Amino acid sequence: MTRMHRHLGSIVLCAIGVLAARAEPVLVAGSKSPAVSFSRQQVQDIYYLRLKEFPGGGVIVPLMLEAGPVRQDFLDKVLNKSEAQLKSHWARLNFTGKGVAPQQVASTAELKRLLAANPHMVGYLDRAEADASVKILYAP
Amino acid sequence: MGRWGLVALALCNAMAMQVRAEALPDWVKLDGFGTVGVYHADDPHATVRSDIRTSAGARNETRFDADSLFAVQLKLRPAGPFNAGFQLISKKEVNSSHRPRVQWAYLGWEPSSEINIKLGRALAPVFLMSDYNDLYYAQISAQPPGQVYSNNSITFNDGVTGQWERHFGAGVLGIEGYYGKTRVDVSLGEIEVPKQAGLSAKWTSGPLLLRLGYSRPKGGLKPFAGNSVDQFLSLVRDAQQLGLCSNCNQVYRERFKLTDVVNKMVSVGFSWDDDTHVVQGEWVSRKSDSAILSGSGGWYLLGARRIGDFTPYLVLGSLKPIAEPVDLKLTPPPQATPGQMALLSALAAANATNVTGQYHRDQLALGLRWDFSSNMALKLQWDQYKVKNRFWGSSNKVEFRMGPQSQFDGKVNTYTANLDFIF
Repeated sequence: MTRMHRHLGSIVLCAIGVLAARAEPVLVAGSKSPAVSFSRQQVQDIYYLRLKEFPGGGVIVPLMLEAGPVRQDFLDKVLNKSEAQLKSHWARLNFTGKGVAPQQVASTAELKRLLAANPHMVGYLDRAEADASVKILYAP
Repeated sequence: MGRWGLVALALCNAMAMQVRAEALPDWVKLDGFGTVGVYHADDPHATVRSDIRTSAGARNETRFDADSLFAVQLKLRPAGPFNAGFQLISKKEVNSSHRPRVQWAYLGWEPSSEINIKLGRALAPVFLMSDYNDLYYAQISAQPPGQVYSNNSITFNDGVTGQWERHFGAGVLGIEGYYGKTRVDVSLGEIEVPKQAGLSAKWTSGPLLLRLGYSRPKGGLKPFAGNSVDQFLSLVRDAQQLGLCSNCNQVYRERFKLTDVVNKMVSVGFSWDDDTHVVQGEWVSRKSDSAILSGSGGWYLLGARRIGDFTPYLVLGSLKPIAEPVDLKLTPPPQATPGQMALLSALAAANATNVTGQYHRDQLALGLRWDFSSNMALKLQWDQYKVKNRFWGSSNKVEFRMGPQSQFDGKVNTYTANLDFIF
């Protein structure tokens, strides 16, 4: 194997590693949640605080993971918003008394605990962390 | 306390509140927002205000108190349909005071996720951005475009505010109404509105937002002693007393109303925000039955493009008065004194321009927003105002000496640097 091939191999492996490190965020609810699935537009509406109830009734309570790669990918791939845009939008609602920004959650474990305790809550996590305690409502 | 002292106090308070807020239960939310701003206007013959509710106009000078403000709010959302909100805002007012004013003090009731009713003091949703008029962080430009927003200085409503929202077609339809009273001080004087009502419809679908609004405040103006309105009304009274005008009393009573003035405002707005491009525009027509609190019409169009953390933007706008003719029947004596001639000349000018003037103000603004940090944005903005037909009349936003002796050439530039933050 020539030196060039070895370099090429390293680059490919590195690229695969980088891709593998990218999170695949999915929207989830607790396994007892009545929700079945959402479209991407509905997920955006949930986090824009426009969609407030499940199709069959019941208030939706969205949760946000605190800063990290999953949050960043959720913003990029699902909400298609920058952090600043989203905060600006939430600020409009918060400071006009028309809504409250989603509760921030420190970790995936904390998120799962909250989802299990409240079937009205939805959140997102990396697909690799979606276990039997949650049901996937949307995957990009 | 100096301006830097105020800024330091605001930032210290913000940090202290953040610490305290983390210790609060989930149903209690304490947060706030603010702006630290620098404002410069470059003309020695005209004063420009960034907001008609402040005394901080700049005339060939740099000011730190034009846009600077600090607000805190407390929201209580216990389990169940009831909630409450209280918000205080401190900003330089027309009387030059920074005394905090209560912007919210309401009890809210949400019987379902579609209905939201507030009793008490809440924001009056007159235009597209009226809800967050002072929350500069949530706006792209440094301030709400004045050619529309200076048509209404009302910010809050003491009474009832209701909102109904539900999915309609491919989007969400929201109907909002309010009824109550309010008061506000502007450079013309104190405006008391014992009765106001408004209704608006907003439809949002993906990046598109459409809005139609109507509002009808009925109230009165108490001019500040010695200001231009006060002086003008004195001239009219003097003319009648001196026998220089045959119908001044009648016109005064019918056209220069200062009480029970009815304003009717219709506004149309839209916004397109596809995450990269933003286009937003509003048009307003305000009709009035008084030549003092006269009608006006304005519009603006904003275009912006997000490039990473930077958002360059452009704003175009225009404002002009809408006023019915005023017909003061002046009767000059055969041999008028110089004082009488001056009085008649001023009233003739008022006649020719319907009192409020035929000024027509155009705005061009270029700016850059930089979201350099979480919860903070820096905005740099250049504005150019062109005022036409300056013979008589003035506006709240651009003030200049009136009449033939005016040295104002009708063009003035302003420069704004604002640091907006939320916490």
